[in-house]
Amino acid sequence: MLDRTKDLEYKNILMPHFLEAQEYSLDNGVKVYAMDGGGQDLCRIEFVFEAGTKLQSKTLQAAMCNAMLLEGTLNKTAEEIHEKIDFYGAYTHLDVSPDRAVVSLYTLNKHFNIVVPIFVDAIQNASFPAEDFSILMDQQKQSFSINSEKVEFKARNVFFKHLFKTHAYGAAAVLSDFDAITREDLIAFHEKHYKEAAFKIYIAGEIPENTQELFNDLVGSWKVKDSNPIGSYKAVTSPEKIHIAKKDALQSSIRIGRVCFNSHHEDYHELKYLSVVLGGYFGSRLMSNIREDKGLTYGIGAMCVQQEESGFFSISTEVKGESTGLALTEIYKELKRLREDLIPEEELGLVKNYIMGQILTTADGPFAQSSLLKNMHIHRIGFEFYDTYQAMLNNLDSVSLRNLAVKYLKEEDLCEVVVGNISF
Amino acid sequence: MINFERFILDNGLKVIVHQDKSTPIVAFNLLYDVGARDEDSSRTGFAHLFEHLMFGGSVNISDYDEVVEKSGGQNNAFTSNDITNYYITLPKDNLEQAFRLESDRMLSLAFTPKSLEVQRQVVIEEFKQNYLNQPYGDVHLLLRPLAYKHHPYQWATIGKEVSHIEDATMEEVKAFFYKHYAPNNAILVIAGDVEVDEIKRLSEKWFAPIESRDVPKRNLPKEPRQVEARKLTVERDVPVDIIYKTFHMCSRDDANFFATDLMSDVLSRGNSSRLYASLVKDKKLFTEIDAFVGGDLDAGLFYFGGKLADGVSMKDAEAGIDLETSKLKTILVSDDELTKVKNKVISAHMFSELNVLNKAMNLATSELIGDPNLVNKQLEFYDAVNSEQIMEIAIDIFRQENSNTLYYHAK
Repeated sequence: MLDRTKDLEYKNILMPHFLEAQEYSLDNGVKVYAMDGGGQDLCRIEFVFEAGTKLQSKTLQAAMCNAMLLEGTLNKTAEEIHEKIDFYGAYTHLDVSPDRAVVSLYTLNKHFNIVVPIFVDAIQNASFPAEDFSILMDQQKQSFSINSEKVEFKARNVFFKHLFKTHAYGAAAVLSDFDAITREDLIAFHEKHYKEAAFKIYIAGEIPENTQELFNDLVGSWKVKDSNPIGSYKAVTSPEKIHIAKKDALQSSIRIGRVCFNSHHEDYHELKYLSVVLGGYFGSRLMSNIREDKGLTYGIGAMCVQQEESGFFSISTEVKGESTGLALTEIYKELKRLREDLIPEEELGLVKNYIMGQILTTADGPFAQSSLLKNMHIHRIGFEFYDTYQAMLNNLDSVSLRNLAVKYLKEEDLCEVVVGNISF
Repeated sequence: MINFERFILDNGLKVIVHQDKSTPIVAFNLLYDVGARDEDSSRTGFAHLFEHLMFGGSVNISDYDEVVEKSGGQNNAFTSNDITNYYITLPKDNLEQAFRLESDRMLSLAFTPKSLEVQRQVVIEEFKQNYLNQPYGDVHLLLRPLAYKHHPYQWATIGKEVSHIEDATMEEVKAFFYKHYAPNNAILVIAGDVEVDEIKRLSEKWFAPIESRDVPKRNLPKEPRQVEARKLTVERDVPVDIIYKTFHMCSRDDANFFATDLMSDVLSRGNSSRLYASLVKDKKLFTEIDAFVGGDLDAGLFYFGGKLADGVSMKDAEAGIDLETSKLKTILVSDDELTKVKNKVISAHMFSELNVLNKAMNLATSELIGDPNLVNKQLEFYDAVNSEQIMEIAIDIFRQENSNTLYYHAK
């Protein structure tokens, strides 16, 4: 008879098998990382430019420049570019973060030789047509004003502004920035960071044989420059409490956290681990307390994020407006528990397994591994990082984790932002 | 091409296995054939509330999530108007944990009063976060009752109003479970580096002991043919005017579904599509506009939705949409344009097959629609669509008397 009450044995989760990226340089020195496999006749190409928002001289410059990369060259209109990309069933994706700008192409291999040249030409020779620029600005301005109505958007912007007071990581746009930015600003940014670029290329999938040759033809004479110098932002604490009222808000958005560091700092991995214990998964302490026990929110999380020049620790949630005070009390109570009590062995083990499972997912197949490698390279690490990771996890002990919480997660060192109902 | 094997347990549970040896992750997807359309009109939002309760402990396992997390897995669920779908992805060595967890939930829940009280609150917060405290969050709460007067698609999965969730009792919750959660009302799909024999063994071991239940045959009121255009105007504290216009269309298993879907692609898939070229770029009526099919299993809706450019009137914006629908009714889509949208569908399909969880979900939905192999055959169905067929559908559905328009004004 089946005994449903008995726990099944949990098998150890082993590190995934990391693929070795084929790595080569084009004639101009641009590095290409190729991750072969996947079994479908298609691939994804990602151009990763050092053209993130931290390099801009004017708000919106980097993001708008990135958003307009496929909107026309001197020889091709935006319509012609999109018509071809669509006709051959390809997809593009544009993304900009403080550290990098990424331009991606998803294409079937049978149209590889037609689509890739159009894509490369569009990025390299983008001409920022005035009409397309004005359409994009209208769109972005509207989206911005809609987002500004959301308590979460407001809280996030205010939070980063206070954390990174003197660094571009804290910069956020205001509505008037949309009127100040010009087409010439985008052209200037493109000249400086794309036409003469520091970039890497990542390709994943069943990679066509002629890829290296084609890349050399299209990209090998592209003017390149050295990587930008990497600054750093010291982990100063900015323990302000900022409460902003929003009339009629049914929910309040809460952000609590601080500046910390990236994975080159000796405490990064343990602090990241603590963030998972606190609020990094469904059964985490914050979720168990504030959602599953008290029903104050649909979701709450904590994270420790690395940036090229810094890093931050943050707790974020949207809670029932009238219970904002209670939610804050409980969040600080959970932080206090981390500082005062040892994490029980069982919880330690559970979180380790959870993290190993996550690594397995983020490294599932050549596409995921290519993305992972791309992100690791921004932080100047590679897959060798994982050689010692499992041992590091296994050596974590609850005493040093508690000490770490005392060091970094003191209530008086944390910045608190609340937008919504602040009558508590 | 997705290969699969299918078997049915004596208790009626349908099991589909797809082998993909390239990944260490297994997707375990359990679909229950129950959604918001199966709710009582005075107890809406129930299927979704129930999805939350499924995580509140089962008869022999008090903490569902803990087992998943110890297994190195991740799990979630979603409820639609048609189905409730639960999924776990986990390392293949721990796959049996998923069988234990999901079979125990199917057997029976713990039904603790605390779980009901808390999840009721969580769902109310979800209601606020996604529908009430968001600009335009209530659009679908307004569109559904405008378009449906009889069919239960008239309410959204979150429910008609918060009070339905507030008033739910434990007796109702239990009744809902035994009415809809049963092996003979579920489809299990396992995708990953697994062997069919092993899945048969595990299915027999964990699910076969659960007896089949008396699931009432679904008998939903059909939405009568709409004979008069319906319009609704609202004013809200939002920064931008938007307009939605919907038309009744066929069901998911109708032969016309694929052509209707492609018609929406002609209108708005990619930056070279018609609505963007004509209404955003050329006429500058909108800053963004989309056309899409809802994808509901029963007769569904074809949507247009757009944000108006500054200074444009609702009347002019709607005239822009009407102009595009009338073009489809009078001019055949060119071969090139049709090839373009078909190419897009083919490549999107191929990219989606890179992921075991996507494949598992697609197999489960295909089985529910009536044929698991639809997952493979649908590309042929898309490929077979011709321009004449699209024109016929446009003529059939793009009639004003078949339309429901929402004018959503900024205050």
